[in-house]
Amino acid sequence: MMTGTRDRFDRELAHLQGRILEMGSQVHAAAGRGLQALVEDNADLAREVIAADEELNRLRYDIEGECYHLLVTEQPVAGDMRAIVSGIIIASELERIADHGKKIARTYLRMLDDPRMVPLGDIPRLGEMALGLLDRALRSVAHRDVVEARAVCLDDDQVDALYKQAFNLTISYMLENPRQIAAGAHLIGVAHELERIGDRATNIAERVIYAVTGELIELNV
Amino acid sequence: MGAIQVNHLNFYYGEKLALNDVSIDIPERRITALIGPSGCGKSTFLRCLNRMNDTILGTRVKGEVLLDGEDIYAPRTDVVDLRRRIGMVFQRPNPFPQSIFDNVAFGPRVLGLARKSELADFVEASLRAADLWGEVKDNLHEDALSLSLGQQQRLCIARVVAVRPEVILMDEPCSALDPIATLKIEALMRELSANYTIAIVTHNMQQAARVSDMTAMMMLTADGKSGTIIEIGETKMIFTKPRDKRTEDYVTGRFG
Repeated sequence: MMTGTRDRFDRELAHLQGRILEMGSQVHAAAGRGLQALVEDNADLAREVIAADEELNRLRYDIEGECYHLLVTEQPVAGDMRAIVSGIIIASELERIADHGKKIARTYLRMLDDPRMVPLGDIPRLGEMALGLLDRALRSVAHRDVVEARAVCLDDDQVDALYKQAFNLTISYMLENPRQIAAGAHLIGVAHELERIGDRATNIAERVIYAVTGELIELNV
Repeated sequence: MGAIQVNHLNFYYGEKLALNDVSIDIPERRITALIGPSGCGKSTFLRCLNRMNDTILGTRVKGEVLLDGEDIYAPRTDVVDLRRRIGMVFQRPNPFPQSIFDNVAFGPRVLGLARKSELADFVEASLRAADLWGEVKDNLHEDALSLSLGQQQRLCIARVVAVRPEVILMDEPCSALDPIATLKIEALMRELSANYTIAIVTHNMQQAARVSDMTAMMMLTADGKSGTIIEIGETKMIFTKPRDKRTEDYVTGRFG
């Protein structure tokens, strides 16, 4: 029954999907490098991450513009509409994940003002877990994989649990080392940014579920 | 008033089965859109609802069409009265070559719905209902054909409204109109739906999405020979997450 009447539109949708995934992998790398700067104590890398964020903001607006263009010219309905609207939201979530990476880099640079370092404790593991969740969310985007998307939403609980643990650990350290309260507070800030990355990975996964099934749900609060 | 229930309707042109087992509830005072590829029997189906197909030789119907619970195909049905109760608006406006006034007054005169002294009020009320009064009140005695196409179509709607129907059937009522005239008809449909049941056949997906409450998707059966309804639902659902893959392919323009 396919007459190929929508070939051009299908190519445009595929192009949009490609750009979202491309942005996804850049954002994943940027957030990872923000964390890496802290873990490896690399100020140059932190500054690079901050400088590169502008490009990701631009990419987000490019993708958003592409979506608006498709809305206006194709007046999409049903699955097409869901894919495009989800694209707008996913691009915005990705842009904010990049912001979290930038904030981690910036926080780390502030921590350099005070040479007394605080042990990172669970932070690297928390970062690994949050970025792992983002990676899985992006795979669910790529494969329109609803099963994986639902799993991502549920597994965000593990990120939340580790965040609480990191929070408590840092607070105890601060109590024992009152001179390093400022540094400890910064570290809690970093943990919070990582926890937010997990939340946004969940938001992305929820959009995959909507795009594929039309179900509008919040799977993890 | 004006609820239509269609149960297992089959429609034949001679031996050819054109509509195959169509069932649908068309709720009163709502707008129901019929969509589907060309040639799937949408117009044929619409014309079954006020027995317009009776005028075509060799056609016959099986199953039932109930208007407020009564079978319109029952032998005792007065077909003229049926078509008063279920009016129709066509693709191209078809006013009579008479004055604007006489077009609207035609039905009430023939049916004796209004006394002569009441006729002017009747015409005014109908033209107001069709959102045309303001544009024609000073030239009611001009030729209806001097109106723009959009105005002519609203005049045809006024003509239907003038005989106090319960249901208005519209067969692609905007396909000959420009976008602004189309939007006017759509706004009018929304107003009319407060008082009348409306069923509309349209090829314009956005129009169906904008204007209707319920949408029925029609297409040919697997053998490609006769039309049937494959999915009915709230319009919002049909255009955001249709259940049937064929509906999805059609509304997104992938076949049809």
